[in-house]
Amino acid sequence: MIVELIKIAFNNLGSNKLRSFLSMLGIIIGVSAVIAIISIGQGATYRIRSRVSSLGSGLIIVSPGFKGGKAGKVSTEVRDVFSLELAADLAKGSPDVEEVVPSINSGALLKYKDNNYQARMVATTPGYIRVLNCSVERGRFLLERDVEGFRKVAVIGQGVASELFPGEDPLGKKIIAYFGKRRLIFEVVGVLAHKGQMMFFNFDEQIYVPITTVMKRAAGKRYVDLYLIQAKDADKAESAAMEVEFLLTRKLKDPDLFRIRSQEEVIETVKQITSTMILMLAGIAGISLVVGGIGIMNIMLVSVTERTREIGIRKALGAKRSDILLQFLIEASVISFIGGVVGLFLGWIVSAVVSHFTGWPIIISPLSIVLAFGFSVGIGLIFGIYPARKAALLNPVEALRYE
Amino acid sequence: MEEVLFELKNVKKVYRVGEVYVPALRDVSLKVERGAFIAIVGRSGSGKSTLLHILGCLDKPTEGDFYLDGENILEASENRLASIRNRKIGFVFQQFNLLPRMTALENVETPCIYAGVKRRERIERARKVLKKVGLEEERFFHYPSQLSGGQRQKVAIARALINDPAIILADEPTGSLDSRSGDEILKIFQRLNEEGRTIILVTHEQYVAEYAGRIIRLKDGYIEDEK
Repeated sequence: MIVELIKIAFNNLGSNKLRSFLSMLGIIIGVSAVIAIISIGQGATYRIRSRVSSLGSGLIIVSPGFKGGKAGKVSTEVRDVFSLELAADLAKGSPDVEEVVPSINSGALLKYKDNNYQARMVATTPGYIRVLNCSVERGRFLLERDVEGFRKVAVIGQGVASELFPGEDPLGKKIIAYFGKRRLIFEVVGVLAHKGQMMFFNFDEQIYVPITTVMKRAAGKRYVDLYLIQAKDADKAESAAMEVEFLLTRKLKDPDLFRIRSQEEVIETVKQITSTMILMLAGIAGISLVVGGIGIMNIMLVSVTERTREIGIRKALGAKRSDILLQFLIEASVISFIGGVVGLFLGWIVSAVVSHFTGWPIIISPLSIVLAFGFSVGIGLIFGIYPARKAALLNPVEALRYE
Repeated sequence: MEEVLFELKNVKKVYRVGEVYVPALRDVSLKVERGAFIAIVGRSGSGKSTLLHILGCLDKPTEGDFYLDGENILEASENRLASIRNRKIGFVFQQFNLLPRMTALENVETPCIYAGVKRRERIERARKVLKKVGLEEERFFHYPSQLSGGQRQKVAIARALINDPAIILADEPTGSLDSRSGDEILKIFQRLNEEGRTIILVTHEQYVAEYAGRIIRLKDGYIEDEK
C-alpha cells in the first residue's frame, strides 16, 4: 500500500516538475543553510580552539586591573603592582604552578644597517619559550645568565629576521632598538621557529630580550606588564588559577588590581561566542525551513483543490479517508524529503567552498544531517496534515461533481 | 422468493445549498432483488443521480431506512462504507472518470490497491477483466487521452469489475458515446447481468432503458411509476 502511494506521489510530482521544484526550493534553501552554517561554524570553532591550545595547554595570564573610573574619574590601568619578586613568590607559593614568566611588552623600532623594522619587543625570562610553546630554529633562546647579567642579547622571530637580515645570517649581528626615548644595542643570539599569528599577536614579528635589561638599563621600570603562568598540567589549570588568585588577593589586598584569564576561559568564551552565533544563524535558517513548509502547504492546498475530482473517484472506488490522508501526506513528505536530500548536498558544497577559501576544516556532524532531515520531513508532515485532512474529509458526491 | 439486495424505506435526501435546503429525494421506497437489471429514468433534476449515489453508498439518506444485503447502511461507519464501495459495488460514470496520469491497466488496478491485493495478482486480475470487456491488449498501456470514448468506458467497466462486485451501478454510461459504442457497452452490461450481477443504471434515453428488466421512473423526487 505505502509503496503504491509513494509511486502515486512521484507520479504526481513528476507530472508538474516546475511546480514541484518550486515548492521544494524553500526546503532546499533551508536545509542547505542549516547544514552549511553548522558545519562552517563547527569548523571555525575547531580551528580557533586548536590555535588557542597551540599556545600551550594550561596557560594562565595575569594582567593588571583597572583603577578608578568612579565618580567621573577616568579609569586607568594599574601599573605598579607586578614586581619580579612577586612573580617568584607566586611560583613558590602555589603548588599547581609550574612556572611564572613575567613580561613587558612595548613597541620598538629595530635598525640594522639600512634596514629598519617596527616590532613588538617582549622583555621576558627564559621560561617564555616553554610557557608559550615556541621553539628555537637557530642559535638559542634567552638564558638565566642573560637575565642575571642584564645582558644585551636578543632573540628574534622569523619575520624580524627576514626583514632586517635579508640574505644574511642574523646570528652574532648587532641591532639597534629604539623604544620610548631610549636606544639600546642588542646582539642577536637566536631565531625562533615560525609560529605565526596567535590570538592578538604575531610571534614572528617580535623580538625577545632579557626582562632585567629593559627594566634596569632602559626603561628604569620596577614593575612588569603581566605574568604568563604555566600550570603543572592542563588538568590543574583551574586549581592553579585559583591558587594564583588567592595569593595575589592576599598580597595585594585588592582584587581589582589584577585580572586572571586562563586559556580554558578563553576557549570557553570562544566556544560560547561561536555557539551563540551558530544558534542565531541556525535560527534564521530554521525560519527559512518553516517558510519552506508553508510553501509546501500552499502547493498541497492547490493540489487538493485541483484534484478534487480525482479524490472523488478514488473514494468511489473504495479509498478510505485514511488512504487519501496518507496519499497527500506522503506527497508532502516526498517533496520535503527530496528537498532535504538536495539541500544536504548543496549545504555540503557551500561548506566545501567556504572551507576551500578559509582553510577551515569541514565538519558535517551526523547529528546535523539527522537534524536537517528529520526537520525537513517533519515540516512536510506538519504542513501536509491540513491539506491532506481537507482532502480526506471531502464529500465523495460533491468531489465527483467538481469540475 | 428471491433474495432482496437493496431495501429503501421512505428515503429522503435534502441537500443544503448555501442557506437553502433543496430536497432531492422526497419519499422513495424501493426493493431490488439480487440479479436484477434496473433502469432508473427521469428528467434531469428528478433525483435519479441522488438515488444512485445513495444506492452506491457514496451518500447517506437524510431520513428513512436503507439496507444493503441486510446491513443497515445508516449506521455504517465511513470506513465500512468505503469497504462496501470497494468490494460489493462497481461504479461506471458518464464521464468515465479515469485517472488521466495512469495507463488503462493502472486505472483498472486502483480498486485492488485499496483492497490490499498484491501487485502480481492485481496485474493478473486487471488483464483478465480488460480482456473480458473486450479491450485490445495493445491498448493496455495507453493513457486515457489516447483512447476513444468507447474504449475508455470499457476500461471504466473493467475497473468496476476488478474486485468482482455483486452490484454494478452506472450513471448514464452511454451518455458520452456514439450509438455504436453505446450498444457495445450495453451488451457488456447485459452479459454481466447474465452472470448474476445486479445492474442498476441511470439514463434518460429510452432505448437504453429497453435493456433493463425493470424501469423506475422518477419525477421531482418521487417514484412516478414502475414497469
